Amino acid sequence: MLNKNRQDPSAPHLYSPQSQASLTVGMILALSPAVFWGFAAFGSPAALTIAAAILSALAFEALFSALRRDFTLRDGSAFLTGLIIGLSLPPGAPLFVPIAASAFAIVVVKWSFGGLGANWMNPAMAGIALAYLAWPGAMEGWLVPRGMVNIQGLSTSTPIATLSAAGAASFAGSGIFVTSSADTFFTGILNDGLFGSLGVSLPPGYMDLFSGNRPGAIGEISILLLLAGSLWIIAKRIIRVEIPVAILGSFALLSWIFGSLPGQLSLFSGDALFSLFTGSIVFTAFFPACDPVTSPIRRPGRIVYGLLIGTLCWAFRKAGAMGEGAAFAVIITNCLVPAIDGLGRERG
Amino acid sequence: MSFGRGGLDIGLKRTRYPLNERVGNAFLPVQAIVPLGREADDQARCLVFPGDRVEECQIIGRADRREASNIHSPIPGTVSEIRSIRNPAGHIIQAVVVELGGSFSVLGRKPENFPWRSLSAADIIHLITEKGVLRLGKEAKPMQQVILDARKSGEPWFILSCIDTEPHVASESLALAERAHAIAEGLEILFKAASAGAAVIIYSPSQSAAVERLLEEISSRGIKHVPLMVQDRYPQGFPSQLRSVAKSLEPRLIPAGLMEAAHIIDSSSLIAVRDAVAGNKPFIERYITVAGDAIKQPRILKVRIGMKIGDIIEECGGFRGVPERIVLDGPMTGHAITDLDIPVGKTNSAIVALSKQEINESRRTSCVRCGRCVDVCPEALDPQRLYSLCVLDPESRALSAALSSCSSCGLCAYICPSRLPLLEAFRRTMLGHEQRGARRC
Repeated sequence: MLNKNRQDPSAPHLYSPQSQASLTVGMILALSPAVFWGFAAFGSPAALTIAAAILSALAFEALFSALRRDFTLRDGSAFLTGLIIGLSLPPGAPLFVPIAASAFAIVVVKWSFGGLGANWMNPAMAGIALAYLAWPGAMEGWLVPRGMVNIQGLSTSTPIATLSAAGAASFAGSGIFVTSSADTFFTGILNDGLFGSLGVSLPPGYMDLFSGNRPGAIGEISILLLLAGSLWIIAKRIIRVEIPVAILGSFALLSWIFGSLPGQLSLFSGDALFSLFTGSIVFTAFFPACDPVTSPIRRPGRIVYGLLIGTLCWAFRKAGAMGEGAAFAVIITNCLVPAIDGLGRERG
Repeated sequence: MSFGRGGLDIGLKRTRYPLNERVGNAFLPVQAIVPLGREADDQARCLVFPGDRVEECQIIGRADRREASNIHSPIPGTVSEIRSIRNPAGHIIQAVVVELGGSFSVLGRKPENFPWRSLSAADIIHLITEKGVLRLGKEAKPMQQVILDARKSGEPWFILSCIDTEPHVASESLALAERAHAIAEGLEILFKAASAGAAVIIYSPSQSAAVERLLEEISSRGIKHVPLMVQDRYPQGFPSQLRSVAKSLEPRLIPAGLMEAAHIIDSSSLIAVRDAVAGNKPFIERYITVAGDAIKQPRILKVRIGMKIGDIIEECGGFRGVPERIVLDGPMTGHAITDLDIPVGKTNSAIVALSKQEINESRRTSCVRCGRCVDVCPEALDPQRLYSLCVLDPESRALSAALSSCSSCGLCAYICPSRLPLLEAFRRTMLGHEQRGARRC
């Protein structure tokens, strides 16, 4: 009788077109529109920051994998870690920051635990957290994006920092920001066309935030381009859609109910759209948070993971000392993943 | 309609060729190397000696144990030797080598149509045994064993799976398209032999047209049946998944609890049953799909048992380029072979020559806990955890308990982006447990 154990051990003889390398390359490609926007907006400081982060990551990866007699640069994960670190940094940060952050991510968080697949915190997010803690001043190196330099009186702080400093409770109607002409144009088109028929009106300034005409970290500012890349990797099934949906959903809901700026507000009048379009929440939700090693293995777990990150991100926005703490939210939740991982497992 | 969990559409439709264009009869082998069994433990007892003359369809091996089936000569001629050959798994089995010569007693003659309805169930079972008919598919075994098992319960139900499980293979679809009449008659014969109650006919959307004819034939014979169309999703053709999807018809169309113990049969087996009982013809030929990107002219051929794989591939124009891997039976569960001189046996359904691009092989890296293996496992196992156990604690009880549910579909290994040898690890571990268990006895 043909025993199933006598099957050819080298079966199956076909594989899915997706491989580890193709998945990583897919993530890098999905980030590239945002990368180019960062170069276009901030020029050579941004290019240098990203290059420093990536090269540092590659160098340390090569060193440590050589110690293990392996050559792991091929799998592209170090490149991706460096890229995410570079994109999470302010463009004006001095070069030692990306170098140190990448070194910490690769050497301490990844290799001291055993290399790819063994890290229990997201390496890139841990590197960013280190940068925030060790060099908070350097992490304030915001620059004004190129599209906006001609506008008078524009502060180089991020929108969150500006509003917090002014004690304002909401973005629309705060009168603090100067909008670009492109923003006025597109806001007008949308209001006349789509939103007018729905009976709502988009205040000025949001299009600037959405397209990336604001100071911020290199890769986080262009929500539009991040979403474009994200839609592609979701369609190609590179990332699991439940993670970003859970993160953004919980974050937006809490921001709407309780507000996400330190100023006091009545309930259910928070500016969720502003909260989503600023800071690194969209970037974090689709890219670092979807790192498979540090996220749960099953769908129910991933949903809980996303809800936790979204909640922590909101909490850090609302009550944190720094403007926002997405990186901390991710690494804290990473530590809880072993407990979450059992969710959804069949018993017996 | 599809089975409950896991599974994946691995492009089954894409790799099936339009049937009507690519069908044919293979040339008769000048030399037939007829295996006496599939494995070392189901060999029939050889009845002939070198030098003996044999007729077409003459019995040359008698089954003297449960797992074995009678073996018949596919061609008339002279026995030149009894050879030891390696089966695709690498085990030594015996084969009777017959050199073609003399006149054919069955081929070219008018096909017989024996009035079998006057036979009793016992007579039918005897004929099926005599003619060496197998129930094919994932759990191949002699058909009489299936019938005797079925007879243990009153009015047993059968699941007739018309579907092809694996990519590239279309042997069952062709059987359905070409010989619906024979399948229906075979089913009627089986029902009499097993005193069966009813059958669930499972087919895929691409077979809808062909299965209409089958259902008409079955109805006209008064056989109680329930048709069920299922999605083309691997591994729908596996026993566990067939039962699971048939169970969804309970209790509305099928009495509750029957599908758990339903007996599974396939179209090729029923054709062999019909040929044996009504046609007085033993199991000496079957449809074999020759496919894959590395085959020049993919075809489905009617092939006599004992024909060399290399010769069959020749009939399809030979290779296109250099095949990366040649697989006997489906690419997901079949055996990779390097020796093209081995013969096809009763249970082989396909020869697939895969090109490098098709295989999508890539470097093995570490597990990144992406969870894709967990998502696709049709038996709701956790391949990632089981793999760690295989590596770190192969003796664990949890591991052997879980692996006994593993149906070796290979989807975990298929989808793993890190190309971890999941299925290989599971099978080696189970083989290790089996061997240790055998030694202890």
